[in-house]
Amino acid sequence: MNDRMVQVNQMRSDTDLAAELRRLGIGMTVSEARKVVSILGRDPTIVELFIFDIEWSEHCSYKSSRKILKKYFSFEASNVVLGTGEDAGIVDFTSVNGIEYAIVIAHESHNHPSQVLPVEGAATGIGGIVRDVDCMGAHVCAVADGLRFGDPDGTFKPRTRWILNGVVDGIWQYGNALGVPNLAGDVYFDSSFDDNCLVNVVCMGIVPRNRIIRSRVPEGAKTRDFDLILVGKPTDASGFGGVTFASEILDEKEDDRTIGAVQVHDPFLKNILITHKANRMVWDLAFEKGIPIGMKDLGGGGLACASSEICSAGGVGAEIHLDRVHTSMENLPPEVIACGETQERFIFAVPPEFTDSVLNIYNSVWELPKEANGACARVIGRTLRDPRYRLFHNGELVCDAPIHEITSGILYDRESKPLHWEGREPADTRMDITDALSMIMASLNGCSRHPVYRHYDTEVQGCALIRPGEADAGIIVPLFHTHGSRAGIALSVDGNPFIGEIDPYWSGAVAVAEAMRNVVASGAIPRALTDCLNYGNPEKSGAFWQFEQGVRGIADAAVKLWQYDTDREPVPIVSGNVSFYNESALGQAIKPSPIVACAGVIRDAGKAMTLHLKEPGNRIVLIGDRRDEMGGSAYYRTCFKQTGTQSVTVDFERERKDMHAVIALISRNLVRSCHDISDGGLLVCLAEMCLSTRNPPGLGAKLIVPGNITISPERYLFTECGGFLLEIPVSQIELAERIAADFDSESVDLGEVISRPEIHIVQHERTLAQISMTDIHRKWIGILKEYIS
Amino acid sequence: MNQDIISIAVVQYPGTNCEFETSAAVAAAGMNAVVFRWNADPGELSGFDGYVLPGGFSYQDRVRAGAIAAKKRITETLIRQAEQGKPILGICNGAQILIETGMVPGIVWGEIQMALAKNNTGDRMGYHCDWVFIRSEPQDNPGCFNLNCRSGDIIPIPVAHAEGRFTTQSYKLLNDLTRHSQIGFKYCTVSGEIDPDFPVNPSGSVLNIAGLYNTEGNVMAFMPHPERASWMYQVPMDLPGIYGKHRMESHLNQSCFNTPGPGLTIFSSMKQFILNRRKS
Amino acid sequence: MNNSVIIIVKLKTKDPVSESAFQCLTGEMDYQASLQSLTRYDYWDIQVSPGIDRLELGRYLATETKLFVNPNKHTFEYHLAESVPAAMERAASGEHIHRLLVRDNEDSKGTEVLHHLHRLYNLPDKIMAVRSGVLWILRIKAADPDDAQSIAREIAMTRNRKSGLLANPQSQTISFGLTTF
Repeated sequence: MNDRMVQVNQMRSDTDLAAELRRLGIGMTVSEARKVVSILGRDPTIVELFIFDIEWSEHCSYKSSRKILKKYFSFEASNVVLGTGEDAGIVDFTSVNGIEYAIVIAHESHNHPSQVLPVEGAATGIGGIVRDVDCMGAHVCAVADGLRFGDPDGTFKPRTRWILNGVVDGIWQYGNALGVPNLAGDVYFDSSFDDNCLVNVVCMGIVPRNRIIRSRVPEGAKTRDFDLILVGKPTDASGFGGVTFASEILDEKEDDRTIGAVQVHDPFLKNILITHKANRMVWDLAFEKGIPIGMKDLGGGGLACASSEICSAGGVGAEIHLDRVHTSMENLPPEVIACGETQERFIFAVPPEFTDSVLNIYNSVWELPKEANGACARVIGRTLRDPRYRLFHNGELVCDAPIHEITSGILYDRESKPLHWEGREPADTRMDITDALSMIMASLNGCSRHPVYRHYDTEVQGCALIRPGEADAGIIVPLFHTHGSRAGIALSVDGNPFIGEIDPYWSGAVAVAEAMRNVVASGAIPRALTDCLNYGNPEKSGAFWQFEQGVRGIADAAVKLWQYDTDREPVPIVSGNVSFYNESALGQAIKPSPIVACAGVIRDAGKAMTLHLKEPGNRIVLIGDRRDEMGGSAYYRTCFKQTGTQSVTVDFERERKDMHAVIALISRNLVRSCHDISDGGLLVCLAEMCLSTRNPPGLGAKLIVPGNITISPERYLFTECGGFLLEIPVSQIELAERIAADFDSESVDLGEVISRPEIHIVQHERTLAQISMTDIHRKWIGILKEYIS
Repeated sequence: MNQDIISIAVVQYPGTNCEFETSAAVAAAGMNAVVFRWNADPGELSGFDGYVLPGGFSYQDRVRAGAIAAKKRITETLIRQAEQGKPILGICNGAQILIETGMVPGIVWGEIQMALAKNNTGDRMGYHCDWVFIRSEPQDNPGCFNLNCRSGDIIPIPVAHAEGRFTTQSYKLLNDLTRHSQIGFKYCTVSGEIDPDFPVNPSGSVLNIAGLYNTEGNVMAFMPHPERASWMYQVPMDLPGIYGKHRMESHLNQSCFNTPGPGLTIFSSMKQFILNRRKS
Repeated sequence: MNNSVIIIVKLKTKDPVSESAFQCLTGEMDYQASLQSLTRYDYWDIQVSPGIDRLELGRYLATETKLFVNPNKHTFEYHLAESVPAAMERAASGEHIHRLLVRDNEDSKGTEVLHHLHRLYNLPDKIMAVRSGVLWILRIKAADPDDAQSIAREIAMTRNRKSGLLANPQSQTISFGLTTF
């Protein structure tokens, strides 16, 4: 281990060492490099330095965030099968034909790559999250995405539109080809995302509880060595340095520097590996023969990260021969083979007698080498009972470190200091209601998302019951074809980016409440949460404070909006991701953006709700308080170009009772349509209930603003406090009110569905507005088309 | 072979992604479905009563959708089975493969006479996924997948593709297609009118063709996805027309899982065709 | 087109499309003896208004807009339409290089890019038309140039399962050789 050593010890000067690290392309700090020396007791090799660099990156080690996450996210719930810590979290789903099925869910960000290479960034984002779920032994059955783009009419108009279109293309080109339906998502535009778009991806799967594959080497490896098998695409230089890249501030001028960080996607190969094909054949054979196996996907940090983590988790070491890794480029340096992030790869740990079966499945049955451009399965090493992590390259030892030191990461205490919000209230907040509604529905953040999601395959696998645009959450029935089960899973993704600046705590809490409300409005019961926490530079006290507040808000909401029909069990957070350094070279950070996904279960998906009005004469019922909290609202932003000062909040007690009441009402078949109140407030909610992308507007509503409200009608109609609008037949109204009261929730009869496509707003028998839905529909459906082209 | 059992091979190429729900729909129509891998023994393939080439992205649409899969050895066997009069349904990517093999329109059997070209939607190019309506076309001798439809029946069904525009360089061919009544289904409005524009015609397909037969009427290249419309629960509640209403009723009386969807007729017609073939 | 600038773009990474096409032509079809290699380029033909410095515009389009080239994944060159260099690949003895350009008859990709150039980059008075295409370069081993040419033509023009792959003449047009570009 001589010629490729980095002489850290000899460099007394921190400046020299820093320069040397930069020269090598290593992102770690000088003190971190010195820490490596103290762990190893000698100078590191280049390979070792790269491995520690990656393992100690923010992306892999959560070095800035881990303490905060641990402090606030330490609650438990009895439906959790597997919490955070592995590639994906797992919660109970349903039992059918004696098999207990669980939901597997994971949530990641792929922000930085998507800014530089929108198509590849978004595609590999989907690809990575799908691997995370697949490698738990799951059948992948849905993806969703939370997207944030800059202002497509702003300073960086061409670039922003290029990113928007590229990301949408990347998502469809990958997800559609893979064969996983795109079930949910949201899209927002704001100039704070000009330099840092957000591409958050969620993936969901199902697995029988007794067939979960763990991301760890099985117990048996403590008494005999297991083979380590690498499966998938030949390794190349793509994605080398990707993790460090993900944890740095983007400087667009350095596009070229990031060449290595480009990850090249191959959904074709992924399709052969997952979706009931080659991987499943391995799992089925292993279970059939009772052979213990471990499996992990290769994501950030590539082979080094995945192999060290799978072995360390199993309490064993590893010996890997980098020259046995199949590559598609000549003479790759060992650090690239070890740390490059070539896509579409998995690692298996299997007992040696099973090895041939695994190789046969990939190389012969599915003919990967021939059909998939040289992909294959190869034995690259074995587990060691000695807990060392050893890498060889052409016979030379290039890494030899205690495996736990590699995987345990490092921790930082970051300074947290509140930022003061300098927002202003608009001088005059009165506006004609018709004009205000038209402006909001025709705004970029208020118009239909159909021009985006029409590119996504929302129906592949044949299990979609509610697609994007039909309700607040998407619903699939993944066990119907195989078991005749009507049990459905609802999925929603949410996170209003306009609250975070005003109050980062409430932006976290509101994101949870909204994601859960979406699931509730579709008729399902929220059972699990995931989060992706997108913030600025954690080394800046203000950004770190925003992060900390967001986490606190999420935790409070998850605990206080506890699960329906349980004894105050929180809705568990089973997977998550932190994305820091979303900051431009000029120091402009994104709006604090916690993005939350919620998975819900509906026992009989035949009862699932859509948001469109169904029948004239039915009553329109409001559940949910209307408080004067206009900060960040579409009304303020769109109509007055101001953000305001009072953020939307969550009245946890009230919100929980309301959600539980709505769950009960829907499950008793009393409701014909339901939509949650969030962006745009009550009136936008009602307008959306009148608008479909498949139909010209037909039905409308007469809306009676209660006479006893304490705020102005505009504020009542546009405040974005949470709530629900429900369409309930007259004959069921009394029963519905009684049931709501049983939950200590309040329902307010606001009017009725009418057979004309208009919203007629009345207070004290005086018309406040009479709004044609036909006009609104045209704008609402057309605006985004202008940008997606 | 058991006379009561109908066996259908659902052919799986690398990159196919609709094989399992397609098998489920075949089963829902009362037939046995077996997913058949492209590199399995072609000899076993000839034992089936009919074939479905399901949707997906065989070979990632490289070069052109369906172009590479059409060259695979298994396709040779499929052509021989088609020649015997057995039914073959190509759905979406399966349709693209059939066009690239020259089985459809097959006026000169095996010669490529049409293309399924990139959508021309007068809008943004690329993939389009949504529900559309198709109309069962009048045929002198109904093709095997139209058997259970009446001429003029309007069927709501999803499309999901980027390359689905039937096209040809030959005007004469278009006349021939009509003359041989090879057009099984056309894209139409909710009330059955043929409108050549997007979104009624989701790809810009010539003559609004959604489903096209060979001259014998036993092989159909069909761009929409009947397996995504084979149960009522799959139908959107805001779909215009009678099926939207049926869907809402099925919500009220909790029958959406037991009621067939509008697309099942494609598979039940296939079954009928096979039964008729056995009788004759 | 005589008043065009041509931008030719190649992936820096391996190109799975040309690899799969090559595998199909040599593994499934009967071109293993003749076809030695297959390379694919994006080929953009941009028709420019009279009096515009075409090379300068070509440079601008390739480096300043993101519509043709992404420096992270592409290499590129741009040329006047009448002087696209002939040899981009080297042939060994007994081998012949054939270039062919495949274009969709309805070029929605070109239309889309033109739309972007006009709307986002304010170039309506400079750019008249954009045509997209795929340039394939085939290295063919054959007894004589005529033989090589007929093999190249056969590989390009899909007639049936046994013959041709790169273009479907029902929806695409193939140009052979440099002069017809």
